[in-house]
Amino acid sequence: MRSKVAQRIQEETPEEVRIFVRQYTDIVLRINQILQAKGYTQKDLAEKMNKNPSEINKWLRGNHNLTLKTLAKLEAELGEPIITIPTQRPRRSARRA
Amino acid sequence: MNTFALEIWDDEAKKCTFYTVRWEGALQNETDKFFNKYDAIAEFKKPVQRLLSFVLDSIGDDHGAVDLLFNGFENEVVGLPNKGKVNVSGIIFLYPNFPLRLYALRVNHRPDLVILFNGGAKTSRTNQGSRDLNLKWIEACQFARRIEEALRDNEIIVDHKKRKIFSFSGSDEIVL
Repeated sequence: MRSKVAQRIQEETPEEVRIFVRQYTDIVLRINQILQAKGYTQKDLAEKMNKNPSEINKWLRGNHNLTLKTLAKLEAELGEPIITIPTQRPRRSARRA
Repeated sequence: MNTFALEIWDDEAKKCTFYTVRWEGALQNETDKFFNKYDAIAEFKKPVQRLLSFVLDSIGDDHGAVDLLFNGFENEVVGLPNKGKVNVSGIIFLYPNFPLRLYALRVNHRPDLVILFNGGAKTSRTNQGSRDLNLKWIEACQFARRIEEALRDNEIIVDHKKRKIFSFSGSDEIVL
């Protein structure tokens, strides 16, 4: 069972909002997991990237609207992919006669 | 403290079961009260949708209640002597200046069993500065202390396989 209130709000929620939330959470988690796996602290990363530790903290606590530019910098520094794009071709929709 | 029921709020998510609390005699549980209240306020409608998606999609279906999603805003409350400590977390959607807080307790720090309480709008930098939020936080801590006490005393038992909580007699009707 799911709370009826939750069901109602979920039904009213635009699909794009749910996609955004899921992807944003995935990205923030992924960055934090890479850091943990590599044994980097936020301070280490800040030093490597010549950034202020408070700025790195914003990125890693999710307190920042991550841009593609920021993600590219992080990927380059961490040496691990953060976001990947599907390689398969998009499905063609049926043409109308 | 008055008595309250512990009841399922959502058990459809793939990785986590969510419980909530309902005061004895109350028409709604505390988590529904929170979502209903803020969903009805125009400026909070979108944050409510994001927060609900964060709870049910990101935590419930995708990742479970993992540390990284929970420790962003944790307050430790020291209980009465010999009652130990409770950790009540605030579920915050990971986004700049998110205006809402929803309080929660991870049962035995498990990633698959979470009790949601009420919450509120953050109107100042600290919880203490947001009056309504501060009251909900104090209330959440009271609920959490009572639940942790019931777990320690085996008044309630966690069924790990089913991701469910039962009373000591095996009933799923739990009043604390």
